[in-house]
Formats: sequence, C-alpha cells, structure tokens
Amino acid sequence: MSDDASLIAATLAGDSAAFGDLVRTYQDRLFNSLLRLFGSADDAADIVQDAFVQAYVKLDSFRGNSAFYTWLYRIAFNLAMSKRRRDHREASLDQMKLILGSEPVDGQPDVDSAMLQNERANLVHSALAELSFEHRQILVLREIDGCSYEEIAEILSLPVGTVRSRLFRARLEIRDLLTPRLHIERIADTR
Amino acid sequence: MSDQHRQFEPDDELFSAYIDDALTPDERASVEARLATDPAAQQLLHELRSASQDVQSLPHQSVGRDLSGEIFRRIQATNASPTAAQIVDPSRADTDDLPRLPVFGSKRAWIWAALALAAGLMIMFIQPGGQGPEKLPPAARRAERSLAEAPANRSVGQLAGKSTSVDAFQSTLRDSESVAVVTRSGGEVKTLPSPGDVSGSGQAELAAQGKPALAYAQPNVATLNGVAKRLPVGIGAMDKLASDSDRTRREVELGSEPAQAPAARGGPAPAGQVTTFDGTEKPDLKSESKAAALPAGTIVVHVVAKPDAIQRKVFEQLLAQNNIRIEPAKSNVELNSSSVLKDKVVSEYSFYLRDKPGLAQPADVLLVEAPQATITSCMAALVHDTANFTGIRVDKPFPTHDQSSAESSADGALADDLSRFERGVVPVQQNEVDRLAKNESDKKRIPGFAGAGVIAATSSAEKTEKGDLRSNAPQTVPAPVAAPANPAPEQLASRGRRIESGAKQKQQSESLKVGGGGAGGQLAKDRAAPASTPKFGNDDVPEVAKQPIGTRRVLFVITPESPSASGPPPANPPK
Repeated sequence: MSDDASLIAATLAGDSAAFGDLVRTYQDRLFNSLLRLFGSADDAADIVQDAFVQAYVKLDSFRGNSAFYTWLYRIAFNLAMSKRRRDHREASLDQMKLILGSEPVDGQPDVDSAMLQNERANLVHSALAELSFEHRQILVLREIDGCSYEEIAEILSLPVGTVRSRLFRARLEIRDLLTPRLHIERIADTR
Repeated sequence: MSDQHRQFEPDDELFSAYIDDALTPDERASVEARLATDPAAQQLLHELRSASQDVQSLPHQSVGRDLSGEIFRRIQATNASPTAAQIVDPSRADTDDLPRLPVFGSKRAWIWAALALAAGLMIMFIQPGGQGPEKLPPAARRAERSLAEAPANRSVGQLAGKSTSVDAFQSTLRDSESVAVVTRSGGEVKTLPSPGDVSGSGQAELAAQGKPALAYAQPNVATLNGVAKRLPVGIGAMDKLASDSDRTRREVELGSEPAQAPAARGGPAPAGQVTTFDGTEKPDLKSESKAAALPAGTIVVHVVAKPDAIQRKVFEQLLAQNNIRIEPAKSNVELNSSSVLKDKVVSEYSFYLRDKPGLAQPADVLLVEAPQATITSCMAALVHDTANFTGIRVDKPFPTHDQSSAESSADGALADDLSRFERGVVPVQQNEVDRLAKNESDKKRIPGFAGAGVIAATSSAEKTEKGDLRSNAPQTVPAPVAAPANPAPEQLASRGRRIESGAKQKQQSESLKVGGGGAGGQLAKDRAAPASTPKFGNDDVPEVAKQPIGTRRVLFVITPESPSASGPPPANPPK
C-alpha cells in the first residue's frame, strides 16, 4: 500500500493525525501551483486550506483510481475557479512582482548570480501573469505541477487533444512574451 | 529566431507534445522525420523547449508553516459534513456554483434554516393537541423533572465564541416544542473528528487561544433529525412509567404466557413471573426470553461507555450533534394507539434491564427514531470516539409474522449496515445469549458472554477453534460517511475486518446470529457487488446514498464499562 493510501486508510479509521501527514506532504506543492496561477499568497493559502477541508470531508469518496494529489488538486482548482468568478479579478502584474520581491533563491553563493536568477524569474513571472488565464492555468498544471496530459484533461474536463493543442499555444504565447525580454537581459549581461 | 508570424502547420502542436513524450509511435516518427529535414521545425522545437524550461525553472514557493492545525480548526469551526459540504464536485471543473459552505457559514444556509423553523411552527399550530408536560401522569412528570434537574453538562462546543450546554440545547428545543420532528431522507452525516481524535496541533492551537477543546459543534436547532426517548432503567423501571392499574395491560403487551399454574391468589402472576404448582413465584425465564424479544423492527445497539463519559453525557451530546432531541418516554396511558408499539418497547425492554448479577446495569436506554442516515451518523460518531466508548454491538431484529417481508428485509439491511460499526467487547446478558444462541457451543462463541471463558478474553483478532469471527480487541473500523456502494477489496481490508471465505462466512453469520453476523452479510454484499470500472480520476463524484423514506427505530443501551472489562470473565456465569 502506498504512503498516501495508508494515510488515507488511517484517516478513515479515525486517525486524524494521518490526515495531518497528508497535509504536510502536499500543502507546499499545492500552494506553489495556486500561487503561480492566481498570484496572491493569501488567496493561495486560503484555497489550500479549504481544499484540504473538503478532501477530509469527502475522503471516503476517494477510490484511489487516480493519485491523491490529482484529486486534491481538482478540489482546489474548482474552489479557486469559484473564488475567481466571485471576485472577478485576476492577479495583477504588480502583485506578482510584490511576491517575487521577497523570493529567496536557494543554493546561490554568488550574489550576482542570485540577482540574475531572480531577475530571470521575475521576467518569467511577468510573462506568466500576462498570459490569458486559460494558457496560464495549463502551463502551471504541466510545467509547475508536472501533471500528465490525461491528468490535465481530467482536471479541466477537456479532451486530451484539446489539452495538447492548448498547451502548444500557451508555450507559443509565453515564448513570444519572453523572447524580447530575455533578449534584452542577455544584452544587459554582456555589457 | 522567433517565428511569431509564421503560419503554423496543423501538426506543429506535435512538437509541443514531443517535448512531453506524449506522442503515439506514429506521431513520434512523423515529428522526427520533419526534424531531420526541416530547420524551421528544429527552431520551433528549440523555442518550445526553452519556454517550457523557463516556466519549470521558477523557484518553488512554500507556505512557510504547517497548515494542518488551521485546517482542523476550519473543519471543526465550520461543522463540515459530507452533505452540507457538497462544496466542490471535483468532477465538474467548470462548475458555476458557488462553493456551498457548511450550514452556518452562509447567508443562504441561514435562510433555509429559518424556513425550516417556520415550517415547524406551522406544523405545531396545525397539529391537534399536544401532550404538555402537565398532562403526564405523576410518574412520568417525576421522571421528566429528574432529567431537568440533572447536573449541568460541560460545554458541547463553541460557535463564534459561545458555549452551549446540552441542557441549554434541550431546553431550547423544549421551548420551541413546536418544532416538529423533521425527518429527512437525506439526513446529515458527520465526519468530524471526535475530541480524542483531533490532532494535537489543532487542540494545542485552541488551547493557545484560551478556548476549550471542541467537543461537538453546536447542533442546528432548526433542523431536527430525530427523537430519542429516554427509557427508565433499573429495577422497578416499569413502575416509573405505568400506573398499577395498567399492570394487566402490561402483561398483555409483554406477551408473557399465563402462569403455567394458576397463582394461589387466583390471578395471573406479575409480568415476568410464573407461579409454580406450589404457589410460589419465580422468574419466568420463558416469558422473560419472550419479553426480551423486542417487537418487529427494533434494532438494539449495545454501547459500553467509560463511566466518566456516562457522567458527562457524551452520548447525549452525540445525539444532539446529530440534531436528535431527547425526551422522556411517556406513560402507556398517554400514548395514542399509533404508539402502542413504542409502549411495547418500553414495557418489554424493561426486562432486559432487570438485575443480572455480575453484569453492569445499563446506565441509559434511549429509543431513537430518526432517518437511517442520521442513525448511521450516530454510529459513525460512536465508533470514532474510542476515548469514551469501548464497545459497540448491534443486535439484529427478528422478523415477526406481523411484519411485511419488505419491512423485515429493510430492518435486516439496516442492522447489517450498522453492524460494521461494531467493535470491542460488549457483555451479553444471559437471556440474550439464550435468544441468540441455538446451542451451548454457540453460546461459548459469543464474545462478551460471561460464560465464554477464555475465548472472550482473547485480545487478538485470531480465529478461535470454532472459527469465531469476532475480535475482542478494539477494531479499527472506518468512519464511513455515506457507505460506498462498491468498496475496493483493499479498502475492505483496510477497515480492519477479517475477510473469511464466502461459505464459512455465511455459515457463521447464520449460526451465530450475533450482531456481528451482520458483518458477514455486509462483507458478502460488498464482495458480491460488481466492482466499479476504474476510470481515471473518477474518484470524486460524491455518492448519493439511497435513503429509505421514513424513520427507523434503534434502541441504544448504554452500559458502563466494568472495572474488570479488560480482564477475564467471571468463572461462573450468571444463572
């Protein structure tokens, strides 16, 4: 039995501490995805918690036919969509930059390298924020969460063929946004 | 070099999928053929791969703290439950519905609660003549007064900083006596962790905020799920309910046969007694075992509780959490004809409660009438609460000639369903053993039976020589919310049940007729059900349990755990 399956079984048997282990296992991964998608750390943390609450309540309905994280992500994603429709807003570019301002970069002994790395991340973040929501969400699911095409199709209720074509267009779009910016960065590096 | 303005060919998207290794063999061959000859295709692949890697290279952001404590606090604070929290149907990614928040968390929910209360008030004014407390006979009034004078309970829980005691809740319901018993086929099923199960971090956080640990969330007063009648217990229980003039009627209801020998005094012996040929009276075991046979449809759930849990009225809190109102049983005289069956339960069950040397007397007996889902919810909460309740046993009702086969089948199904909540050791009274067991060897196989000797004292879930299924150690039974229709085999195993071979299972379940016999039936049912076809990601469409319409009746007998509960049973079984 996988770790997730044993934790789920223990939770259903009444061991709430096991569910705490599930939370600690997946909270950061889920938070990171939601943060990239919506840009607000507070919103992302809020949705993460709501998603886990719902997962707890509905845990007995989880059959194990897909990964627990996929199931959890779907819950979080639907919550986020509802919140988004309710709020009628998207993360602003400024918000995303604000988040990135305090972003630590691990394992970078060279300050200049760290600054460059941060700058590049800033550029990518900016480009991500400018994408259409559909393209941003599919890029986050694929590139940041590592979901397969089938998992993305299930989460977004799309045919796999649509996932493939949409991902292609999303990559083209961010390429078009990044190329001139990274080109400028490269020019700045050489000076 | 960007080819922003290049016209893409239909199969250019294959290059994106090529990066992800998501192509069929034919598609892959096609892409590689193009890459070998087309520089533009090579450039496109390079750019797509760069874009993918740029996004992947974004540093990972973490929450920076452990959210589990906050999550458990949210679970408790919102009184989340499966039906209330049909919040997100993960199978519907594009839902337009707002998240349906738990009952107390949204304006809409309060509106529904108010409408339900208004409906109850209307029913009160439409229904003719209620039985106010002042119309009860003196015995019943005394019983009710003694309940009202019970010491105040500790807080049930908190909601927005308020604490509510069980008594306050009960009196609130009594004040709004007009709130009719609302029975809903949907029912509410709770999966809140019991106090003993809440994670330490969650409880610690509550303690840090100066709040007591949450026991049970405040019940929704406006939506009543059922009613629990408290029956008097102990010797002389009958006298508390019925007047002396009702003794004859009581005997008839008991179904006790006339004394085998006419009593010297010229009248039938008191209920449960027979007059021997020499005029003395002794307990009528035959009558008693008949009396102990409850009327059709009543399932008996025996619960062994820790003494302090009984003192703290934890079971009452559990009922209150499930919106079940507790009221004292009314006298035989006062009940109308439709409640004759209830009278029988009150009358007959008193014989269960007669003094049995060596066995603990029940501390509380509650006849609960509520929808099946509510009863299941109560059972789930019971099995969760290992800190307060150490044993649960379900006795299947016997069908009688006056019960339709459909009713009998439904009652049996409910008993089978409830039997999955069984755990621990529940002492069995002698008359009950007689009722359940067909022969002496069967008696010894009934766990908890004082005469079972070593068998009852085993602490591991090992099979006995006779193939006893039951484990005397507390079983880890899941707290199912809505029972899944087709649990996967691995889930069955994870529930802590030992899965026997089908034939032996059936044989044992039929021969033992212990409440756990229902386990075999349940497991057999689970196994026989066709496995659902695995479908990717199809885990999350909430199952809507098919609920029977109408209320079900379950008698809960709460018995305190005896100090020697964990030790070997007495050598001499009670006679």
